[in-house]
Amino acid sequence: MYMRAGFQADCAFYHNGTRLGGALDTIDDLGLTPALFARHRDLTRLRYDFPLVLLRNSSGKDAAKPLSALIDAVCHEFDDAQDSAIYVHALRFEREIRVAAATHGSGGLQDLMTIAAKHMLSENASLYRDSIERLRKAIKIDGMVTDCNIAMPCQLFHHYWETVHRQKAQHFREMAGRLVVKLARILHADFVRSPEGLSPANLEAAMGTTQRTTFDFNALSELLLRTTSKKSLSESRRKRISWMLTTLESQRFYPPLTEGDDQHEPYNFVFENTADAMAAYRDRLPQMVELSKAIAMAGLEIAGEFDERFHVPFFAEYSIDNLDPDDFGLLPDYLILTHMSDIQPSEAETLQDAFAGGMRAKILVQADDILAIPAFTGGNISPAVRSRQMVNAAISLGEFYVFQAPGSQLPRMRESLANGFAHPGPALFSVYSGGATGTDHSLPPYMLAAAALESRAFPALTYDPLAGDDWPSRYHLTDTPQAERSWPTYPFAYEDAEHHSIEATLAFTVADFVACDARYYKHFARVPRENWSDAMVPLSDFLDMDKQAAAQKVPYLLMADADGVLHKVLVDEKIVQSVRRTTKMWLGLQELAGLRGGYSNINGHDRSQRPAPAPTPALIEAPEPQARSEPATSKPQPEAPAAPSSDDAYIETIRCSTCNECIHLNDKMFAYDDNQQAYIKDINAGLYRQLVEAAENCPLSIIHPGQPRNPDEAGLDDLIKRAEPFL
Amino acid sequence: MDQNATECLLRMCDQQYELEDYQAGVPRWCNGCGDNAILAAVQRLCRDEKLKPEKTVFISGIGCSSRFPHYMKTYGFHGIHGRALPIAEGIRMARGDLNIFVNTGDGDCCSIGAAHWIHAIRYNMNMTVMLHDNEIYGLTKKQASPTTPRGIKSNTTPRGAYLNALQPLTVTLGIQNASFVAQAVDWIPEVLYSILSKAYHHKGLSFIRIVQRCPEWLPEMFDTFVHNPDKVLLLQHENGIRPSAALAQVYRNREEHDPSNIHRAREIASTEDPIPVGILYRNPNVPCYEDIRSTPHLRTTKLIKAGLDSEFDKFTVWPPETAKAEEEEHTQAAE
Repeated sequence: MYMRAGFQADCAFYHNGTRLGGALDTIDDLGLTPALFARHRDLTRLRYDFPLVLLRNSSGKDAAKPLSALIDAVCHEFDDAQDSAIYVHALRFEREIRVAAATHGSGGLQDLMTIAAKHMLSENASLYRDSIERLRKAIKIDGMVTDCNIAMPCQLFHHYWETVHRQKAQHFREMAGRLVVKLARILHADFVRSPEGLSPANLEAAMGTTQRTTFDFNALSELLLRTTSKKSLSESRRKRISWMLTTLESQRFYPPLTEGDDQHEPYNFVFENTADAMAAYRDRLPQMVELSKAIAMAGLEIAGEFDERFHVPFFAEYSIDNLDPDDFGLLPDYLILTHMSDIQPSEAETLQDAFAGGMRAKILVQADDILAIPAFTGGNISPAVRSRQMVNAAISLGEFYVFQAPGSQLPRMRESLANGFAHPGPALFSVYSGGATGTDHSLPPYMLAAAALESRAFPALTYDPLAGDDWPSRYHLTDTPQAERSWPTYPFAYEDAEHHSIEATLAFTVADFVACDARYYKHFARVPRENWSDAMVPLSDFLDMDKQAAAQKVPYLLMADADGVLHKVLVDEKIVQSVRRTTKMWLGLQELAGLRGGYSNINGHDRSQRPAPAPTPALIEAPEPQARSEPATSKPQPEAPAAPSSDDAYIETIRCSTCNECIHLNDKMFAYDDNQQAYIKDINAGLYRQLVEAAENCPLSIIHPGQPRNPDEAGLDDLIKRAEPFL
Repeated sequence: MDQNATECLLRMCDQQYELEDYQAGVPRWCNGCGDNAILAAVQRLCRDEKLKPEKTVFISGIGCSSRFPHYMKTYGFHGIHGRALPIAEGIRMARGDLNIFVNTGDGDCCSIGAAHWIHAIRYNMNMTVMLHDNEIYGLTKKQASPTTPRGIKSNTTPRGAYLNALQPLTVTLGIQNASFVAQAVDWIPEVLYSILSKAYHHKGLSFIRIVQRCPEWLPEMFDTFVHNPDKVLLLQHENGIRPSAALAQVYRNREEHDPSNIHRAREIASTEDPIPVGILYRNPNVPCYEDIRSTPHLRTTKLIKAGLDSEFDKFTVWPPETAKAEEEEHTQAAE
């Protein structure tokens, strides 16, 4: 009878969220976390991907590295790492740095190492001194150390942008510097030939001190002025080159080309909102066009290709429309570091306008709370709705590189992140920091972000529009754990009340993620151990049941309290619906990424049916079944041209080696074609005798004299006999 | 837009060239000389690739073939015996924008210039090298060259050449960093042109041995090969060259040879009869010396002057008063 009453209470909670008869507890004050997180409450004792070190003077993926990877690399260089205490001490040193980073939020690696060393030496100086000295000596690099917290994404993305910006600035400096030098040389070359350049004073100044008295510079100047060409640069060309030089040297997109030039302060390219970035972009548009124009014109001018007839009118109309991706790529990308909570609908429109106008930006949209309850949802629980909308909108624009990941996964996605910054177009980075929730006992941001990732509430994905011509080539979910499954499962070991070891497999769904947030505690109810029943089934099993079987069961999650005691927590129908919605969304993403059914299979089928590409015309092979070492082929072959009749005179022109023999014999009868190969230009311009002689003299025997055209020509019988071998 | 603005603009003013734009003077080579065929193929290549004469340079050493730059209406450098390649390397280091061609003969390259040849292959600088190999010193009227076959009588070997001929292809293929090795013959102009075209587009040193006839001093040397197409082994591959249908009808002795296969290339290079024609080896991944040594530093007048001053200062003997002033200056700076 009791079972029946308990099940009724469980069902009531499942359907209505009501707790009948006090049989179910709230979880408000229990400090529960998903069972799989039970062992990871203190992250400073865990060796994992954080903190990250933002390395100076590094680029690409390695612009940032996990502290643990740096320590491993250093230990790898010690020959005795496996045999001595150095490795153990290094791990301890790493932990102390991690603690210091967690305490201070961030700081320089060398500074944090000092704090960690102090702490260890104060604990046991004689034990650690030698190891710490060796470690500090080996770790020469420095950089900001940042833990997984709410500030980390901005720091990390700014750092990656800076590394790319630094490289671009270097490239621009070299490129523009070369242009300036070469343009200046054109002006200088003109100057040295001018009357002023050839003046005695200038000649004397150019000679150097030692030999100055040896020459009569007045006489030299007079002589040179008389003999040097008077041709000089046209005024229009001189003005044009001067304008290019001024434009290049006064540009403000990068630091000035001239050292010590403090009049042209570089523009700022880092913004906290799209509107400001867009305003700056619009303001700088004229300068951007002018700079691109100067670079394009300088390239032509230096190559000697500037043709005033064509180029002056063209450049007079030069505008933003003339700029191509390479031109945009030469200039700095705008970096917008913004928070989802600050983005208003009007800002989203501004964003779209900006990209339609050619603005190239890398945008970080950081979400700190993806479980906020919007007013319009009617009680539905839909994590990260706005992030999903933004990502989908960016993908739909076509040229965006799109990156989405929670903060916890960023160290493992550094390559994709670097690719986004290297992408020759705009990029959207959607990141969940895990930094703010409605919960009181608040898991560390790393754990919350990891929970969002594992549960598919905030999956890790990348979309590279240039990566291929189908969705699976462009769209990747591989950085989401167990991406091929609907939700991940992990082995879990625990002891029961009788201390028997139990091994189970636990799923991690969006219900586990939501259970970490106090704003949703009302959807969960702890079942006292004495009320556990067979009608309670794990949520993942419940989701797999058909409707009829599910009607006899209620779903629960396994959660752990601060003491590591496991609890069974019922979830209500809203949670189950949320899991079903998230799973459906996830299945759609899997199809796009080619991980499941639909798209990938169809696409694979299409590929197998696709006809082989046609051979390149230039490589078409000649027909020849009996050719030696030729592979058998059924390819259609072009036919060789038919040989002319032996009665007609002709030359196998394509075999002519331009030896001049026939041309020297009669250059009216024989001539060279456009490829400098001989042909019979006018057969009536000479005698049959000359045709025969040409055939005899041709070293390749490719002249065929044919039959005589004039039966009255002298000595014809002899000529016909001589011509026979060449017919 | 696939190209940037500058490229589009350059294309907008694209100039069309004719063979005449590359022809300078009437060659003094003998009638029937293979150099004529090479000149015709090169001029055709220049026209088809629209090479700007002012951006193209031909460099040669000494010999019949080394008169080549005189007949090209481009820049040219008729250098000294055996030194065409070092000159070309210097030009490449200074002028990355030029199209560089080298014309050298079997004496110029394989005898007096042999050391430069070996190192030029190793340096793999971007240029097209044509070895005009007629197996004789023709300009000095018939003396044996390193590639003269054993037994050939010449003014320096009246009883016949004593040594086996040096094979330029096997030598080149034995040198580290060889990146493009081909053989052409002057009497198949279509293949000669195709190889030249591939060589021109190869990034690195393209070495083409062109077997050519000398009608004056060795008039019958290649007659067997010229008149019997089966004595020519045509190498063909999708990564090499393919003969046209008409040519394929004449030259039926063909082999499918992948130019990335260096072992087979070395075997083929050792073959004398039939004479192999085509691209033996091609490796586009060998780095070029000019790229390895490229520096991001802008070579401004100031930088060059500073570098020279710094070098000269190492050997400068300063007058006593200047040295004293310098020393005082350094002391003040140190303080």
